[in-house]
Amino acid sequence: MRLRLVLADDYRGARPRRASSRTSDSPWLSVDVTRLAFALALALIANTIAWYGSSGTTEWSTQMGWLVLSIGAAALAAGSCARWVIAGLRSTRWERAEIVRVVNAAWPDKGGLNRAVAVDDQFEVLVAGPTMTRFHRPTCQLAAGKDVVGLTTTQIVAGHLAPCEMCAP
Amino acid sequence: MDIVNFLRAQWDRALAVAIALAAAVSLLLGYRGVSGTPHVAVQLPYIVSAGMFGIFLLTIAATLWVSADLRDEWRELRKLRVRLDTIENPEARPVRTHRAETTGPGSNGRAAAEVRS
Repeated sequence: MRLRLVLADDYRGARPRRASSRTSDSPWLSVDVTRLAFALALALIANTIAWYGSSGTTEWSTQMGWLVLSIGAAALAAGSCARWVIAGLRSTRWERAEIVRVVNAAWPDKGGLNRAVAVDDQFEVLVAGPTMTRFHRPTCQLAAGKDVVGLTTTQIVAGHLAPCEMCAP
Repeated sequence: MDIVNFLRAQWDRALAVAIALAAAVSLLLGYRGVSGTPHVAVQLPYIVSAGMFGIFLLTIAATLWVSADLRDEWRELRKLRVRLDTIENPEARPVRTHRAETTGPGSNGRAAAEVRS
């Protein structure tokens, strides 16, 4: 048995789910489905009752009560749907956090590589020349006027390139 | 792709569109009922039935559509994670089957222990 610590901050509110109770191929648990179905059915029944009640009378004060019930039913439906969407978002965030954790564990930070990836994520292409041992930002003075090409993260790792100290990519 | 396969693959989005159309019909019927009489006491049942029911249906349609997007994203992420787990532990079975996911951390910022066999 191996004990491993995982920082809670990595998850940022992501939702740990029990795999056994998950519906097949879906980010929602079966309890989420049940909750939503129950709330929607309740809202539908309340709305039907409100309609039945309001159509049986012409008295304004009585009708207002039924209208309030109807609005409450709509609010219940909207709230349940919002809760459903939030549950799905949390599951998705959990999966994303797990991917980040696995990637960080498999490819740990090596002298600024993670920072380079972050820059790359912002669509700034990093460059290096064929004989260079460092990679640079395209605007770096050390790369200006030289025969450089754009790099992918894989090329940076494969070429054992270090980040330039001047432009600090 | 024929229509049956398309509907089978995109059942949630197709259902969302169908429910949104039903909502539009409901709201139109409500409008027709309300506009047909000057008496508020007669108009109110139309608002309660057709109006609120239309809003109810619209909410469900929107939820279905967003759910479809979420499910697609979640499925892609899950596939990716299973592949990554396989790379990380090539000899082990997929981590998902081993991990007790309920041992994940709460939202209070404390560290949580995850036990793995």
